[in-house]
Amino acid sequence: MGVEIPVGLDPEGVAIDTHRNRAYVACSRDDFVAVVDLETNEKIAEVRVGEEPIDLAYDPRTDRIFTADAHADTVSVVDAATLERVASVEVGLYPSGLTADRDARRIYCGNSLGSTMSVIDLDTLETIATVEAEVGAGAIAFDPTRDLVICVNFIAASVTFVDTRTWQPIGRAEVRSGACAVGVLPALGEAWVVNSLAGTLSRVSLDDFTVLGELRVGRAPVGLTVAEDHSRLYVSNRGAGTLSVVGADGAEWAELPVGEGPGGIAVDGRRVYVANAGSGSLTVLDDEVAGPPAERADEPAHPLLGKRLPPFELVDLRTGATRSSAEWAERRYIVNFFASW
Amino acid sequence: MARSGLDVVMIDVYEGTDPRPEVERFCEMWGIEGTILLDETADYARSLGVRGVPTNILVGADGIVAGVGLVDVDELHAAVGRLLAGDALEHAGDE
Repeated sequence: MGVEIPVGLDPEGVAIDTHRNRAYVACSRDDFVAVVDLETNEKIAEVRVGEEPIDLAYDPRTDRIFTADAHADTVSVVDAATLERVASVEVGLYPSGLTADRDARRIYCGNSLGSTMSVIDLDTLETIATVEAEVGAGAIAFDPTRDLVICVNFIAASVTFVDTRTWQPIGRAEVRSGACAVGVLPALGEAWVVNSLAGTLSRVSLDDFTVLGELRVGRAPVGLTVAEDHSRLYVSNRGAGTLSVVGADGAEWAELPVGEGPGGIAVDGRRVYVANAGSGSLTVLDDEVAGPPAERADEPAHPLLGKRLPPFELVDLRTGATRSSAEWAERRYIVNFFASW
Repeated sequence: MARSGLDVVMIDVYEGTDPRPEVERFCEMWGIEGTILLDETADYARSLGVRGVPTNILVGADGIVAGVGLVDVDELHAAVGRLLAGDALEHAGDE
């Protein structure tokens, strides 16, 4: 099922350059953008940007790649023709979300620790506005039919709705813990927000900003992208190592295996691209799930359930000593797998 | 979890580089204490079928896995409750 291409450490944001048939992937622990040739499925270049690029966007008209450099408090601007960084725009503290509105010629950047959203002119690179959001401001989507920008606040577990005519917040919704991605379905009048710690999607009205409902998806969802025809959404489940395809009616059509610790997602109408933070790779899948399954299979139980936990011998971070699972024999315990990114 | 009598063993995975400085910074930032082990190659995680983070695995006193996944707090509490209730029943049967 698809191919998996090594790109770099902790890849997060991904965007597609359909003209050159390339993927650009923000490798946050390597401080570069990986350039992937989608003909050969190989990484062909690395472009150095600011420290810890998390999210990424591509604008075909200016032929530029933009990265949100979380530790540098900047948005880097890369010329996609020369693959050189040509500018750096100062934004707020810890920028972690980036979305380009190619028609309105703006780029939106969520500054997590600054609790703000920067609005930047895509062509002149001037900062048009800095809008108050809430702590953990990150992922952003927009609805041009309602003159709205929707900014999701991870730590506050909330959503800020901003009027693009005045750049003032005009509404707020409370969602669940770990809100970290958002997509818009304008015809439905809804924004769908990923709640990573709750393992759900919140459906929020774009008209009165009320929460309409909540859907359960895979374990620890973190990424969301809407299909070009708005018929379905793709949700990456970081804990499960899967991609959920969810119909606009809220039903899960499929849950597909991808790489380890998946996050950022892009689509181009033919394929789905998933950046896998755990395995340092980009998964490329044919976009062929067009509807719900004829018959829904029960979710299989995890093969470890009811079995003896295989033994381990691992190094202790604090002491450097090797510790064995034998230490926990005849004790009840929880093994928590985690990563620092 | 400590109040429930369960130990928590945290295992760091997927760093892709020397994990020590990254994990030390992470633990300091979030005030994480307790046992932290390093699965630098992710071999142990893969051997268990772990495909992402966070993933919790609940293990009974008999070494048998009683739950996998369990990221949602309510889900985790429910699984721990079932494990403890099962243990209590077993002990009652011993008396």
